[in-house]
Amino acid sequence: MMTTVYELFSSGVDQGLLPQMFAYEFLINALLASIMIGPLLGLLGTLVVVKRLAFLSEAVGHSVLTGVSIGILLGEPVESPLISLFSFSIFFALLLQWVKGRSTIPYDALIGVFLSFALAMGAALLLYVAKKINAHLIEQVMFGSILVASVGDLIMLFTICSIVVLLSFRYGNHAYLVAISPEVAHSQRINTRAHDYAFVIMIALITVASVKIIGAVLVGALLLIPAASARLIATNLKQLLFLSILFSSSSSVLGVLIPMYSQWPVSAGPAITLFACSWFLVCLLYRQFSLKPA
Amino acid sequence: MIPENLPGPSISLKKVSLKSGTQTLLENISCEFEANKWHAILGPNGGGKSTLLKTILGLNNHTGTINIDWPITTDQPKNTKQRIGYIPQLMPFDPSLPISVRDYLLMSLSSRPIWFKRSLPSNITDALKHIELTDKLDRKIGDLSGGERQRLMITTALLQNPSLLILDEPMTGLDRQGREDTLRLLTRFHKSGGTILMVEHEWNLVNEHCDRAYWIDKGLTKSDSPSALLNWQSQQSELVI
Repeated sequence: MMTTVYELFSSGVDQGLLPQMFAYEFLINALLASIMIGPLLGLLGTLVVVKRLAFLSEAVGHSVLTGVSIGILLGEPVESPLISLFSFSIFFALLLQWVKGRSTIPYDALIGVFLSFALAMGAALLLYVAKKINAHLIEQVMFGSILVASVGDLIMLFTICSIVVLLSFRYGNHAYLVAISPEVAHSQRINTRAHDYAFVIMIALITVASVKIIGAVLVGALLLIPAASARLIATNLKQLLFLSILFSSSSSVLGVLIPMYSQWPVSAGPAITLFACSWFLVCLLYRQFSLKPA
Repeated sequence: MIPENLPGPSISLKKVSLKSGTQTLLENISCEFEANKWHAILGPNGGGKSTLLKTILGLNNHTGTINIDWPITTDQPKNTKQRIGYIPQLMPFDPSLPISVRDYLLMSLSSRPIWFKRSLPSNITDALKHIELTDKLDRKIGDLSGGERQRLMITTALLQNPSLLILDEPMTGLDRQGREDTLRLLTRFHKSGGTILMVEHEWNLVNEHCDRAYWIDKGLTKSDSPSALLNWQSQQSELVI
């Protein structure tokens, strides 16, 4: 199937309809990945903003550094230590949620502790395994790259996308009610604990799936910035959702295509984040001049 | 909005205690809230009234047993089985969030995703007319007045066809008309057989409407008819002075 897609783009290039860069398979893989990552992060980002959990995704993103190192130490493929990545990130997210349910520490402080631990452990282990790997791998893990998205990654992303879309149609209303008022949701016999665990697992899955393109350091930014931008100008949840998906998807696609087209020496992660920040600025200015101040 | 023959449950508490660290929030509370009655919970600030409601809802890890005994009847209205309507003391979420009245109603009352179907069924629009919020359907909840928000929360809870209502100071922020409307709804719910548990500070309201009153100050100090509890409370206050 992917061969057909590559041939389609290639014929577009041959007919002069598309720029030369679309002749590269790695770019098409990165483009397809960004088309899936954008809406996914935009959708979940609204829950991150409503739940005020901006730093949760940062903490899970940083746990990826540790996951990569553990994978390499355990002998997984250096380019794609997926088993360790998924296992550690999900374990990390579940542990965070479990500790939250059993302590009186404010959640933001708890996330701060976990974030620091993940970063410190990841940095220590990465230095330890650095002699075994190419230094560029560390850069790729930190800031993402459009060169490394494989067909396997696309299948993984498509699977996660499908799961999230199905869950959002079945449990979307409940998820928002749990996010804005767990007490009222609980009184309606909604299993708020299951929702909280499902939320952190999804954050972990999406973070890991997006890390190749956006990077561990910046994946949290794309969960936060588009939804935060949309919140500035939205007047209802539907607008919040669609604007967040629009900002996130356009940032992802532009962040992959524009640096390549313009031959800027910028990784995909920073480019995507900068486009998302541009949306934030636009929304801030729109609110400043069109609506009442925040 | 309120069906007939509601199967209001009874609630029994046996030696219910709750601690947070070294602080005792509730201490050894044992009591029975009878079915189909309107119960008022009174007490000093910080005495554990709201905590007790949340504990009954299952939001706190307490010791002791809480049993909500839902009656099994054959003629109960549809969808009222084991449903609880809860109105928290304060607005339950950040008012700056872009959540409209329509969003809140849809996420509470509809199973279809809020971005998929935006029209409201006729029973909801009728209820909105009754509380005069029809023209504010697409307004952010944060932009409503305190009274309008409270009416919305109570109406949303009632639209879920509960047979038990748990209310934490439901009259807060309501003007005279809002209070009368709310009391009318609660009275109709009570007369239909529903059970009400309500934290309230106003003795007049409790005396006029409630069947039984409970004085909570960490533990259950006294329970009696509202007028008898008011007499007891007055005597206690005189003793302190």
